[in-house]
Amino acid sequence: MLNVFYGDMEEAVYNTAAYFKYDYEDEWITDPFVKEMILDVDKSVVMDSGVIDSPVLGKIPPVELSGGVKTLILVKFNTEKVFNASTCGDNCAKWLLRIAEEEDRTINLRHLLDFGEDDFEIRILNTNRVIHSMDELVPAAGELV
Amino acid sequence: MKGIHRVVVYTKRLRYEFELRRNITVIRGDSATGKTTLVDMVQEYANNPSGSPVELVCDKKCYVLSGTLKQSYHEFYRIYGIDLLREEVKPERIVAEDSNSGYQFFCGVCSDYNLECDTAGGKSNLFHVLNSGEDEKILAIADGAAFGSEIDKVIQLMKRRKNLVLYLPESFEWLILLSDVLNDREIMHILDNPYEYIESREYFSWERFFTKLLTEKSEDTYLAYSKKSLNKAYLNDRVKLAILSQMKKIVFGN
Repeated sequence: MLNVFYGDMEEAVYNTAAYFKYDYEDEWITDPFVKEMILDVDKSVVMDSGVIDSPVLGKIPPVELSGGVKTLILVKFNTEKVFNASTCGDNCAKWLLRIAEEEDRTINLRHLLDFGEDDFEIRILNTNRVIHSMDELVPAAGELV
Repeated sequence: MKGIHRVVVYTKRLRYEFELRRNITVIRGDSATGKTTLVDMVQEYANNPSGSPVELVCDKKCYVLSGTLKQSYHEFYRIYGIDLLREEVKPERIVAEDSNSGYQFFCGVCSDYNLECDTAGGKSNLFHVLNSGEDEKILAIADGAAFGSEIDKVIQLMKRRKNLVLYLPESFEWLILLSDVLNDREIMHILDNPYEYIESREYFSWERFFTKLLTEKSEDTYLAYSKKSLNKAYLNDRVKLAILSQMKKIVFGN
C-alpha cells in the first residue's frame, strides 16, 4: 500500500533531483518496470544504463530524465528514505500506486497530487486513515497541506 | 519591474516564448513537460552568454535562483475568474477570505438579502471553512492577486462540491475601483493595463497597489477608504449596487 505523509516532513528528501544524481545505480535504469515508466512519462526509450533517447532532447544521460521520473525511480529502489513526491506531476500518480502494489512505500506530499478517478488505496499517515478515492482524499488531505 | 516582458529562449531543438506581467509567475504541469529544461537553458545562457548553444532574448537580464525554495508564491493570473461561470449563481451564504472592509461590505449586502455571511479569517483557512460547510450554495470571495498558494486545493474541492463557487477579483479594492464610483478617468486607464503602472519592487502583490490607489483617490471625498474599517458610504444603495454590478453572473436577491 502507498503510505503518504501530507505537509512538511523534516526527514523527507526534498530535492529529489539532487539526490538522484548521486544515488542512482545503472541497473535501476535498465529495470523493465523503470523502462516502462520512462516510456510512459518521459516518452523516452532506454538504450542502455547510461543513454536514454528522448524525442525532445536527443540522447540524454539518466540525470536528465524528468524530475518526476527520477523521483519515481528513487521511490521504487531506495526504500530507506522518504522522498518528496510533490516533485511529481499528476502523470506520475498511477506509477506511485503501481510501485506500492507489491511492496509498501512511504512518500511525502506537500500538495494534492491527483491520483485519478479510479479507486485506489492510500493510507494517510498523519491520521492513519485509509482512503479509496479522490472524493475521499481531497477533503481529508486538503486540511493537511 | 513594470510592463510586459517577452522572453524567448531557444536552442537548435527547443524554443520557449512567453510574456511576464507580474513579479512572480508560477509554472506548473505534468512531469516531462519541459519546466526544468527551461530553467536549465536560462542558467546555461546566464553562465555562458558568449559561448552558449542557448540563445535568450529579453529586454531584462535573466538569472536563475536555485536552492530549496519554500512553496510560498503569491501571484497568479486570474484564471479562475467569473469567465468560467456558465450559469448565474444565486448564493445562500457568502464566505469572505478576510475580515476587513471587504468582509464588512459583503456582510452589509447579506443583511439586505437575508443571506449568511462569514469570514474565513485569512486565505489559509478558506479551504477548512468550505470543507466544513453544509450543502447550501456558498460563494467564497478572495483576493485573486494573493490567493495563488491556496488555489489548487480549493479548486480540487470545488470539483467535488457543486455547491461551491469561488469568486476571485484582484482584490476588493480593485472591485471598487472598477465600479467607477470615484468617477476618475485615470483609474480606468490604470485598470486597463495595471502592469504598466505597478512597480513590483514597491508592491509585492497587486492587491497592495490597488489598496493604495483607492485610498489616495478617495481621500478627502465622502468615499474615503480605509482597509481596516468600511466607510458606511460604501453601503448606500447607489455605491453598493455599482460595486455588485461588477460581479457578473452573481445574483443577489430576486
